[in-house]
Amino acid sequence: MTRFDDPLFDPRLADWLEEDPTMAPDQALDVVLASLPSIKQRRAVRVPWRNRDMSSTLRLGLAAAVVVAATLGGLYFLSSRTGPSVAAPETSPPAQSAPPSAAPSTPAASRTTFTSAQYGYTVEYPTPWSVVPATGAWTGDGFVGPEEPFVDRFFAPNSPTFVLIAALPRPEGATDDEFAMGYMQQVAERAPCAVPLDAWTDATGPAPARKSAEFECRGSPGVELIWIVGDTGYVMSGEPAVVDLMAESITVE
Amino acid sequence: MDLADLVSRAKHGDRGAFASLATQYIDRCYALAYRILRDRDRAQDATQQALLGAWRDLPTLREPERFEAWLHRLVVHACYVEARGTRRWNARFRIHPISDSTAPDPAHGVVDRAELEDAFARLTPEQRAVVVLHHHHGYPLTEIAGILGIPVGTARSRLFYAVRQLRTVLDADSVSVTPGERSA
Repeated sequence: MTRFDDPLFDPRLADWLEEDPTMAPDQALDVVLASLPSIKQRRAVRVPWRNRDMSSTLRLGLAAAVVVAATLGGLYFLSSRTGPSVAAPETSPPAQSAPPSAAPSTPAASRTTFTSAQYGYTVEYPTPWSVVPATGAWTGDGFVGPEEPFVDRFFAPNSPTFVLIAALPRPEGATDDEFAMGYMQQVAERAPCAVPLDAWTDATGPAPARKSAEFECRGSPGVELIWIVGDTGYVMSGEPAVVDLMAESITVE
Repeated sequence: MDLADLVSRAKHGDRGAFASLATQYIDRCYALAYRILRDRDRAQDATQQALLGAWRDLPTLREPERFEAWLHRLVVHACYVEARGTRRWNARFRIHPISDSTAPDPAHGVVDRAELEDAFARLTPEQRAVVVLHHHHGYPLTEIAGILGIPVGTARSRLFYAVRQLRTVLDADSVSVTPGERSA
């Protein structure tokens, strides 16, 4: 009889796992408790995407983001589109720096540059926003969400609005299309906030396998943007106007 | 104080409350980490990283009643990091005393356990996590998908391919040792 038809295989597997240690070493708890005072807790981000019933503070926060987007030309891009897509700008692939002419002449204070220690890209985000860098690498497990430690997270001040960025190495032997499809299939099953496969559109531009999709999450709009540089796939997700804004400035080493 | 109270207090920076949670859950975290990593030191590191990450990110936890599942997710991710940090598998060969009355043959039980250790080592960390969560912790696939943040179909396929690979490796090993056994 082989294991394929052995009815005792699963119980044996469970028994084998049962025999492993079940008690943590005493020093493990000691280390954790001794380390707590040196670790600052994150601030809470309780509301996904953004509220429809925004307070005046939230409106101001969002307005600030939009002003920055407008300064960089993003608002013009948004208002000039005829379709609903929030596809990334046509002239500036995310793997390259935005042309100098796109940069504002004075609002240096309105943008802050962030370089991801985890993923190696550099991006500009609205200065009032805060950033929580990723503390681990994305393995492909888990969705790119605001609670995930493998995601670089950008949060608007006093607002639930955010933008998320993460990157993943190309699976061995996968083509650009297969690589992108793997992520699109994953978020198609995400609950809530699924992005149907037919929502994705090709974004024009020289960057390979660049796609974007609009979706709604709990009544608020979001956009997903994916692109591949070399053997790394990048995902940017979040508030549409700011995703557009940040996608214009992102560069990859 | 119940779990919800402890989590609520810890979310607001109460270290004492979090210490109670850590004391309550650290053994389960370590047990999960050990079964995925098969190494005591790395399991301890993963457990510590997960608990410290839990303290840091606890204010973002929206559903306190999901604390344990959320903590398990952190443990699994810490295991992924540990596993990929060294890419070294501790290929210990352990002989366990025979205590399983369901094993038809004591010698077969010893071989099975050694073979299982070897076969399990060949699985990816993601496959090991699903196997452990399902076969040891008893989570259904829907719950595993929620813990790991993956679609149910992905959890199902990982478990299927992991178990199939385990069976294939064990069969291949048994064939190579006792070629006549398959036809028995």
